Amino acid sequence: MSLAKLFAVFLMLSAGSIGGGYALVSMLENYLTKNKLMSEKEFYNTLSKAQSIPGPVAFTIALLIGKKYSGTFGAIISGTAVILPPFVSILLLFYILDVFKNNPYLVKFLKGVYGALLGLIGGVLYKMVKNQRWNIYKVGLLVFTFFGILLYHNLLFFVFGGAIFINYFLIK
Amino acid sequence: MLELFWVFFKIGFVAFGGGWSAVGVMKQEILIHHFLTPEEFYHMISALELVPGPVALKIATFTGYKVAGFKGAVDTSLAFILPASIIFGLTYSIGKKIKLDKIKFMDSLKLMTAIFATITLYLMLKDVYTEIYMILIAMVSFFIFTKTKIFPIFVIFGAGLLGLFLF
Repeated sequence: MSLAKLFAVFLMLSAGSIGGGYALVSMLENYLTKNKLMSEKEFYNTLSKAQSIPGPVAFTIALLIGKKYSGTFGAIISGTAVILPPFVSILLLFYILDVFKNNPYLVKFLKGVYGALLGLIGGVLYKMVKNQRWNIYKVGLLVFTFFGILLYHNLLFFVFGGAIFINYFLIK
Repeated sequence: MLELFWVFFKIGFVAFGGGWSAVGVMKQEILIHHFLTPEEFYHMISALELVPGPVALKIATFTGYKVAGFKGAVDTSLAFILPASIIFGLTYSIGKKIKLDKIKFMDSLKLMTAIFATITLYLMLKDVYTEIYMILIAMVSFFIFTKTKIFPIFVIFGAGLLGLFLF
């Protein structure tokens, strides 16, 4: 894919990904496999690589795919294309919110949305918990990390790194 | 500006997946540093669902804009994606020299995202768990998300419209 094509594809996918980063991932899979640019297996390998890099998956997968098709410059172009639409639309959203912030209907609407988000996060968490092979050590680690992060936010890196270290080296 | 940059840079390193799991830690940091009030955060998080893009990145951009205008938005957005770019660069330069048990490493990351998601749910529920209609909407959407294939965006808009009548 050419640079212009990469830019156009990621710009469109990002602009259309209302509902979060994973919406972009599934549209991207659809696009790449339908156009025979990548096999499904190749895509899932790339996705798992993207998930092992910190940051939004939509962004990291754009870097990886850009790099694969057009080198380092491709990665930069694709990454930029992903962050532009949210950036621009937030500036617009900001003005809309500022104008309507005391509108009772908007406040009620946002309250309803908040309820749905709680359910969505619950659903995401449910799937994560279901897909883990749990044992007593992991539960212990979860409890410690949970309170560690909530109570000692200054030690975020330490708690995060420590928990990964413990799980990687000590828990089977 | 430096404080803004540092906070989002820090979160950028631990925000694996970058989706909802990172939101709890973001809320904690944003409130501790007084970038937003709890009420502003609460409105922002719902309003952001109406525009495209990864939620954690949108939070970074919005918060930056609120605190320091356009420059602030650029500042926080870059701070948040910089860790991803650095690690991405590293995987191509020194990545091949480090030998990691891939399955175990991914397993560790998944456990961490599950812990972060728990924190998100806890911090988002903390202020609203007494509101019965809110919890009702949450339970119905949980059921729809986990048991059906209806797109989340429809549920989110539906819940917003329902909110007009219930609240």
